[in-house]
Amino acid sequence: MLVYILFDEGEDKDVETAHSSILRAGGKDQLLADFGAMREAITPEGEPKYLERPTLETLAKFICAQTTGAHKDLALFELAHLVFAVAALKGQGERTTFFLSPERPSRGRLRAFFTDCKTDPTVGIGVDGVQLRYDGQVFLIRFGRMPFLIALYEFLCSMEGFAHYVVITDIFDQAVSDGLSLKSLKACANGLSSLMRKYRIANLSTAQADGKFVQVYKFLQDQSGGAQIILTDQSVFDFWCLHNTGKDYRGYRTVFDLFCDFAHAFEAARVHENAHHAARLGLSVEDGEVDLAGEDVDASVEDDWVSPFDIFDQDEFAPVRFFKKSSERGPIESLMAYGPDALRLPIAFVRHEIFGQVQAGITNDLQVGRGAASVQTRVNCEDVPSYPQRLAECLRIRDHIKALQGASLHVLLMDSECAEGESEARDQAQKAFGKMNRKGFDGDAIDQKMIFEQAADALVKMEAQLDHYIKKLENQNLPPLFEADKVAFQQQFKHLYAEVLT
Amino acid sequence: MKRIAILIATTGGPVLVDRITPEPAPQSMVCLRRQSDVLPISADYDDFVRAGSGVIMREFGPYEEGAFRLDVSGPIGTGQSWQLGVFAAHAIFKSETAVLSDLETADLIVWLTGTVDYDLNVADVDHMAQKVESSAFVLADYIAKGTPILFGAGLENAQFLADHRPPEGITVCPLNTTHDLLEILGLVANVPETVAEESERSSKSFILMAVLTLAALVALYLFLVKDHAEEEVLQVQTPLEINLTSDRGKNPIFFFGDYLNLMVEVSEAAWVQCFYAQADGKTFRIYPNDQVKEVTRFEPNRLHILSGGENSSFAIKLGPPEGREEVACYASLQNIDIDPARPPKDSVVDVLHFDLKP
Amino acid sequence: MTEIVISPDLKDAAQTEFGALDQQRDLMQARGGAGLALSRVYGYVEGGTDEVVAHALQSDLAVRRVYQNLLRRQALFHIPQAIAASSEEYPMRHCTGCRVRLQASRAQEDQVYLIIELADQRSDSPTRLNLFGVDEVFASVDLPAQRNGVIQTLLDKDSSQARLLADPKTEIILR
Repeated sequence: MLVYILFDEGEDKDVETAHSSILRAGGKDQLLADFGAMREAITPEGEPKYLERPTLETLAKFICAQTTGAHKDLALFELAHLVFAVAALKGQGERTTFFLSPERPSRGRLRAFFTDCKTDPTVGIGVDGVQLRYDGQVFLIRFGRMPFLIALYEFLCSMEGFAHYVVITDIFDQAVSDGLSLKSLKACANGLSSLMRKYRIANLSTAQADGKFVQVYKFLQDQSGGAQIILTDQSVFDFWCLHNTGKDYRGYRTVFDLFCDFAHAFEAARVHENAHHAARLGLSVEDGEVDLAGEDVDASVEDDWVSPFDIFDQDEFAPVRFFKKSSERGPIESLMAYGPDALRLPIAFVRHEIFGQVQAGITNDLQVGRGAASVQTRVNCEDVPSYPQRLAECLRIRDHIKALQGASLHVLLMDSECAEGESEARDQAQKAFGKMNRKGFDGDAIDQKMIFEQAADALVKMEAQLDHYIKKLENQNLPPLFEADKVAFQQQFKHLYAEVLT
Repeated sequence: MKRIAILIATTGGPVLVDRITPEPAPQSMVCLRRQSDVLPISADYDDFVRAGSGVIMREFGPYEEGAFRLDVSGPIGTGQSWQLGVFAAHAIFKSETAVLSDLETADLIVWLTGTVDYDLNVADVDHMAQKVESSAFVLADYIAKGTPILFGAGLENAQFLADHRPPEGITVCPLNTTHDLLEILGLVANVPETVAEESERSSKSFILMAVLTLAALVALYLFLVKDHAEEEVLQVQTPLEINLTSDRGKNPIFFFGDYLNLMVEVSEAAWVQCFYAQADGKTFRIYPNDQVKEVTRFEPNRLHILSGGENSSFAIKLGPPEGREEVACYASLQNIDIDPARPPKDSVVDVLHFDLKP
Repeated sequence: MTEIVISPDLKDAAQTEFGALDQQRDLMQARGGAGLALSRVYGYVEGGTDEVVAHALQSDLAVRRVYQNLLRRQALFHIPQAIAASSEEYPMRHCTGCRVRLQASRAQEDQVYLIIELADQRSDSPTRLNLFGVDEVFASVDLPAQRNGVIQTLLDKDSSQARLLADPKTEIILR
């Protein structure tokens, strides 16, 4: 995620301070403490229990979920299912161990937890996860979803200084003793949802976010002039130029994020508008009950973008090296993290990648006191990769991803019979595998078949993302655009860091 | 009543058996300095005491109480070499003619290392050189005072000690069984107190030799070290060498409140400076310091007691912070100020690492 | 350049969405202000070492309560508060399969033996004795391994642990 990169590479402290103050300004230290506790949860080896992405990011999304939308608390319904499944398969006493063990809840560990467990006609273990059968339907909780649900369970129990732990435990105990039915699971989810609603009211404030939203909206309104309000790549740059001498929007990347969220918000609102969500089923909205009606509940959770690299970051992927960090992963890390948001404003995004990086370097120089000479070099944007070079890099990595797809296919087909018409594809896959001279792509690869299966899905997603981005860039006349941008950013940087340079 | 101090030899220094008390508890325990700190060897001690698995109750029992509390002066690590000393301590505790003593008032100091099996055979143990080396500082004072000292160990260990010609005042006793030890100590009924009596007889000569004994013990120490040093000389032709150790050996463990007693030896007349690096990164020069009135070159090939000795001008008492600490001593042929971060090329250094615990 | 047409009709809904996204970004960026996660308390219940939890147990009543709650669920032996008062200086406390008692040391008057006798030589021997006194006072003792069904260690007589063990109203949980 971008914010993480900013942090690592020394983005403006002003930005960080400004962001943090938003939550603190509303007296929201409790939320920071509660979320911080999840970040500070550690394994016996002293490693973070939860991955920053996707686990904690998904948790943050859940906590800050918008107040509209029928499925915002769907995760609680899933959690109720998972609690029931653990009780059914491993016994009620194992719930605490499953959800609160300090060990990192990796897919491999979760799979292992459920192996050799007692059978139950209504709850079973599949390849992908745990299945619950009731009221004529099947509810699947994927192993990949469980780390987030475990984090959610722990967050609920830990929030506000464990104030709700006993109540939550009672809610789950009741659900399990009531038996598996839509009614009992809904009651459980609604009980939790009521707690979350009160928690959000007490700890989330949108006042400052509202201020930002209105600021951008008015800016676009003024810029567009006519009846229509238009957001373009240039809007991001113009807004930054207008506000970068202030404290809140000094960094181009910060402004890009702001517009990303703005555009994303309108897109989400449009989708919700079109979706015609089912009306609530006579539940008490005041009490925070949510509609989790059976017909709305699908086994697949709402499809928020998550970086495909999250798949490769799982502990069990360690034996196979798909990407070299600096040459094959680093250049597309942001693109994969931003997902559709990057494609919505592709030029603004390439500026973020190239010149946002320059500004991060300047900030870092200032923080570590590297001196004016180094800042001057950066301000001049010397040695900055051009947009055509950036495009070429994307093309090169796309080729690597295609090769990885072939190699993965070879592993997946290793122990299967060759069907008619498949031989050519198999040959190509085998060649790709043979050329992949790196860790994990060897005679033992078949032992890691499950890893290659997961990788294959992620690689397809990555190729599609890169394809879209490449097309968007190819549609531009990149060389003159880059030269013009270089001059424009140079000017802004000179202006912004004049004090340091003189 | 003969007052006998039992020292259990460890690589961290000799540990005195302070007291044995029968206790109305299910298990026997070893405690540190009469505090409620229970040493990890307690489980093994309980086995060693318990009838059936051990020998103490069988040999010296029965007692009304089922267990003992053994108080010692310092930590005893893993291993079983404490068994011989503990056996001797229980023998004295049972005896009507002897009592356990502290070092100051002891008529006889018995330094022991070895294991004792179920048939009371004494077996050899490892790390003899380190054990002697780390005992040198403590024993030096009592040799000087004229207290008779007896080194008891298994046959090969005793041979090792004898081969290195201990100074007068120390009698080495090879032990085949614990019976040999009890005989020597005069703790076996109807057996004359051979060595003990002999020691008493010769105590006058100890007093006469008091001035010489420290040097003699140092000689013992040097001799033990020399074996290693000579080997090293063959490999590295270094003209100036420095050797730094403590009264608890090369890898000691210290606790808050303990004194850090340092000993230095140089191969040529040299100027010495020592620095103490705390676990928190702070470094202090500890030698020379304000307490040292006259800074001179260190004479070669003799053990210089840097801190804590009777003739030392200063002592170092250890306190917080806890952690892994070190002392580095530099020797130089020139009398110059040494910066430990950038020591001069012609200086040599030896470092003593140790754990400091609360 | 890409153009995105913003529909004013969606402004209110978008503003709500934006609020969530903005706060989520804040949450992911914020550092510090860490509370305590329940898994750390649970790890401590299970015998792990965690100085943060150990300190919080002394200073934070909420942590103490949730720790007690978790312990009750995971206890190997649980000796609730005794109803009747005791005239003995160190009353023996017991539950099925376990006896806990203090025995004065003959060697040191200021010390007492803590003796825990187990009926079975079980593989999951307790590693920590937890004491919850009246007024929600808490103390614990890290235990050595059991030997022949007995766990034994020494306590200072005036330690909080010894004082709590002397009080029959102290709840004892072995884990």
